[in-house]
Amino acid sequence: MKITELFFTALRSLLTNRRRSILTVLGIVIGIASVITIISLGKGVEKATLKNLQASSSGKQSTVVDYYADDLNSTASGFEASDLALINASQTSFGLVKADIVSDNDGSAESEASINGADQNVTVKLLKHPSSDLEILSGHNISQNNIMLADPVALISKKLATSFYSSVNQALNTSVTINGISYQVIGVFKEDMGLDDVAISKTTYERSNNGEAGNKLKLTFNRGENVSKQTKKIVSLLNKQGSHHLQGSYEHMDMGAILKGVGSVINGLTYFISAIAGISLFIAGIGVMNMMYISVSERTQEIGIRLAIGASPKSILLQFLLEAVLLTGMGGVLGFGIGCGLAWLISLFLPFRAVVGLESFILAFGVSAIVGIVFGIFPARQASKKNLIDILK
Amino acid sequence: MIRLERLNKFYQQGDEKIHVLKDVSLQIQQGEFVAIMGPSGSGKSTLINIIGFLDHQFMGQYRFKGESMIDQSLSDYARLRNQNVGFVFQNFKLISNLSVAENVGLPLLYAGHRRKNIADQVNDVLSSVNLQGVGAKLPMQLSGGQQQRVAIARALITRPSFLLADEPTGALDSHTSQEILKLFIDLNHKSRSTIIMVTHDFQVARLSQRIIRILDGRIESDRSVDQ
Ligand SMILES: Nc1ncnc2c1ncn2[C@@H]1O[C@H](COP(=O)(O)OP(=O)(O)O)[C@@H](O)[C@H]1O
Ligand SMILES: [Mg+2]
Repeated sequence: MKITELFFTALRSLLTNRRRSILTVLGIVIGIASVITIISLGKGVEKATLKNLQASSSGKQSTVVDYYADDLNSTASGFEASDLALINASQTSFGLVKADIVSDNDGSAESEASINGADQNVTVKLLKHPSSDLEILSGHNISQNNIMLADPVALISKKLATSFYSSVNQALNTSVTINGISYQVIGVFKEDMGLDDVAISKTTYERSNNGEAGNKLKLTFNRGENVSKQTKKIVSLLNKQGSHHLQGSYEHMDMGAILKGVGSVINGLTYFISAIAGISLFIAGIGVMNMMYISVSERTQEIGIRLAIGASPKSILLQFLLEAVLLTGMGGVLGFGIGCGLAWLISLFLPFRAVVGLESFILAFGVSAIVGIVFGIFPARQASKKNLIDILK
Repeated sequence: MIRLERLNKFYQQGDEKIHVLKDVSLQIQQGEFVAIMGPSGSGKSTLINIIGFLDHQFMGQYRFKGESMIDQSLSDYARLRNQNVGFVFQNFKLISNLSVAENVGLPLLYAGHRRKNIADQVNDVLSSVNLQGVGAKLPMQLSGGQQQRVAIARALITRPSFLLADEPTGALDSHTSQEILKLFIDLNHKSRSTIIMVTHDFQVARLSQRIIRILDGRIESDRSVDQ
């Protein structure tokens, strides 16, 4: 019989005994699912660690120190030029290439602005691209050109416009000064849910900021430097002598250390879960063997008939072996799917994403197929060795 | 076509060796319709199992179309059964969870055909035994006579060299038996099919051309039927 026809024959028999097949294969599903889950998480943490340690394109590595003010309403920046001077004084002993103050890169900054002669604390939306989210009530939006040329132009909110000018239109073409730069107001937007008061081009803002003030410090190190250790040293220096060490704290979130911790936990778990899964697969394999023996003895008549009409013992053997492999293989694929889902779900609560590779699929399918062959071969041999004359009597 | 020379068959039962076939010699030509008669336990089934390549353990010589069956392997036997023999058993021997059409087509699958290419052949052979339109049913949904006709269709589908029927009417009522026998006679007359049929009913046997009587493992008589 052609192998494809044998395949269908085997599939038919499995589907005829659907419930029994499902129950038998459950152990395989569970075993494979748990292995795939832990392996995907392990790969995820490995990839995240690599990425974290990865040098920039120039081969240098960088870390970021954040400043958190104790007073949550404070708009003061934690880093100033004096902090740069402090760090740069011992630049070589830290292995630093450079230190830069960067504005909060979540797209907005707190700043003091002067509008129509009055000072006001405002939230500034920093645009990297023209924003289509803003509904312009008057004037026009900031264009790509404005951003590219770092034009000192601004959009202000309707609330801000009406509290300083008699009408929205009055605010147009006035100016607002932020960080010493005077921006021309070219439009007024409607503040829906956004908390932003002013929108300006990010490049323009950074230029004006000129590395003078901000809540983030980007440290760039020489190649091969122990960045985590050096960053820690700089953080403790800042917390002793930094410009704002009395008003807040300087902190560094060491992703490398976190990932390393998670990674070693997952590595430990991998051995444990693999051992459990191995036992589960072994027991499931015995279950498959048992089911196949039962199936062979129940289907003695069928085997006799097939032999009588011309099946060779080899094709009977293959039919039953295929049944076992198909059963465990489907269990493996199902387990693979469940494992992927589970890994994804778990990694929602971890600082990295699970990674599923083709090799995980091959592992799942391969292991389950091998279980099918190992535990299916004896029942299949028994089926093929049945005495035809005794069956047909 | 079939030539047996001094065939002997022993069964081992515990410590005992039972001598079931004793020096059986016979020849059957292409196109013959042969009935094998004898009391129960006389060795009829044992004999036709050897003729039909189901049993390879015997002593003596069996030549089929001139070729000796003695040194054939088990897979050779499987191929010989598939290509040359159509079996019809007393209790039909259909696979219960396969449809009628699947049962009938099964020998073709073992001959290496693809499932999707055999539908026409299956339909043709089903209509040749007057069973149009039951292909999708399960064997259980048919009457005994219909099931036996499915078995005959399955036996015919590979166009075998001969049909072997071991008490094919043994499980059927007399009316249905007549129908099945008529089918065999038609096949023998119209298609020149070689048929070897075991029966212990003389009324059945006398419809054939030649009756071989077996008693206690020996051929007692072998004569043609006077028409
Ligand atoms: N597999 C077997 N093992 C042992 N003895 C058997 C076996 N098959 C048949 N026999 C014995 O061989 C003899 C002939 O059996 P069989 O050919 O089935 O007779 P028939 O078909 O003429 O009724 C019987 O005595 C039977 O008990
Ligand atoms: Mg018998």
